[in-house]
This record gives sequence, C-alpha cells and structure tokens, in this order.
Amino acid sequence: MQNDKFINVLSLTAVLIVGVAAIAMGLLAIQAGFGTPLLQLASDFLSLDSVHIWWYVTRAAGLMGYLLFWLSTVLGFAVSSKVFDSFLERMFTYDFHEHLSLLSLGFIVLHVLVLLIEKVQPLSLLEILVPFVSTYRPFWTGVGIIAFYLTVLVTVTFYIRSWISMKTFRVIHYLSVAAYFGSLFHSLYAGSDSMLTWIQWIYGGTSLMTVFFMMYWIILLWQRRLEKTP
Amino acid sequence: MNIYRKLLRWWIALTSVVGFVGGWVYIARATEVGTVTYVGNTAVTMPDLEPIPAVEGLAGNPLSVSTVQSFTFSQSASQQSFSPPMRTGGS
Repeated sequence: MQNDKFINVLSLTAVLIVGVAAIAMGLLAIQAGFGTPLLQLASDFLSLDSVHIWWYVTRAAGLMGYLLFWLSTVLGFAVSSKVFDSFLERMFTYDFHEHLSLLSLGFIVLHVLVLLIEKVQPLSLLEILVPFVSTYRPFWTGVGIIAFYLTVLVTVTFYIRSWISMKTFRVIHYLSVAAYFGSLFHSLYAGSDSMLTWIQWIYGGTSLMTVFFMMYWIILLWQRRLEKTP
Repeated sequence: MNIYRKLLRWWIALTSVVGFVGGWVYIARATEVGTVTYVGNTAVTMPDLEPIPAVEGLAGNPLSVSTVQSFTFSQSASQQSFSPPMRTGGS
C-alpha cells in the first residue's frame, strides 16, 4: 500500500520531468535550426558569453530557492493539518518536506555566494551577513538576511530533532512562517525581477496558497483545542 | 521502501535543477540589462541611446555645401579687445 503511493508520486514526477525535458528539447531544436552545434546553442541559451552571467545565476537561484521554500512551507502546514493523510503516507510528506527545505537552502546559499562575485550589484561579505547594512535597498535586503538565518535554524532542527524536545522543535518550526513571509517580501521589494508580470503572478499565487493553508492550519488547531477543553 | 525514497529525492533534486536552468534561460531573455559602466567597483547601468539618424544625401555622395549645416563664428567687439592683465608675481 505504502509502496503503491510512492510509485504514484514517482510516476507523477516522472511525467513532470519528461514533460519539461520534452519542452526544453523542442525549444532547443527550434533554436538550433537543426544545424547549430549543441555547445554554441547552450551558450546562447544560457547567455554564457554575457558579462551579466552571474547576475542571471543569482536571480534564478534566488527564485528557485523561494519556490522550494514556499513548497516546503505549504507542505509543512499540510503535514500539521493532515491534509494529505487520506492519500499519502505521513512519513512520505514529512520526508518530502524535509528534503525540500534542504534543497531550498542550497539554492539560497548559491544565490548569496554568487552575489559576492557578480558585478551588477556588488555586495561585500559584511553586507550579505549583517542585516540592514547593505547599500542596496537596506531594509528589504536585511529582511531577506534574517529570513535566511531563520531558514537555516528551522532546517537544522530536522537533523537535531532527537536531541531537542518536541515542544522546542515545534516552537522553532513556527519561525518558518516568519521566514517564508520575510523571503516573500524580500523577493518582492529587493528582487530586480519583481516588475515582470509572470514573477508577480508567481508571488501572488504562492502567497495566497500559503495564507490559505496557514488559515486552515490555525482553524484546525483552534478546533482541536476547543475539543480538548471540557 | 528505502530505494523509493532515495529515488524520489533524486527526482525532486533533478526537477529543481531543471527549474533553475529554465529560470536562468528565461531571466536572461526576459530582462536585458543595459550597457554597464564600472565606476570603481560599482556597476552603473547606462541608458540605451537612440542611433544617430543618417544624414540624407550623404550616402554615396561626397560632402557638399548644401547638405552640411553651415556654422559661423563671430567674435564680439568686447572679446576682440579683451586682453587679460598679466603680471609677474615678483617681490
């Protein structure tokens, strides 16, 4: 039964990957005109010869980090609210949630490290590590730095869970809500892609879904407490 | 069971990387960064300048008086008579 559920999820992900790969291959074929060497094509596609290459990398990494963190946050609410319990094993959703947190942290670290070397908006190590000292939009950059620290803290607790009490684990985990909204506002107000329509749709859609799952979780918590009180 | 979990983790990681590369490609095309000039360590984005319009009649033809705007410079009387007082700063 449990294996069947895993296989279902695997099939869905496989379909997703194959779909994305098919679209990418199609685009590559169109772009190639069926004659251009593949390396040149990759270079053109990724703008490898551009002086702004690191600027593109850091922005893409930041966006991917945000999306994975959003997915992890929503899944966290879903785990707590037992939303997927009827069709997915709890252990699977928890594992998925934990893995997504770690992946998002990886992309955020890449986003931060590349900011140190790129030249469009150069930031020093101090500006990246200490909140509100950056010369670039100091408040929203600072909010992003704090959100990053909170994300690190929350992710670390997955691995030290056996050493801390369940209550401490939960309390630290509540901070991920602040981390999510911090990263959302950092992306909106410090991100240079916020003026793009599709990015605005992403931020709008993801934040609305998070608020929905959060409200559901709060109402459920409230209901459980009411049921417990005699 | 363990193998499924491992496979799933790989799938998720792979999807994320594909998404990241896709985002990179899209961002590189969605926003064109203007000409960048470096002032010290800081990059300054310069505005795109419109191309200079071609002067009609210049293509293929040598410059003629009729196609080139004439410009005359006339010195005023005050400028002509102006001579700065110069003296040495000897003791």
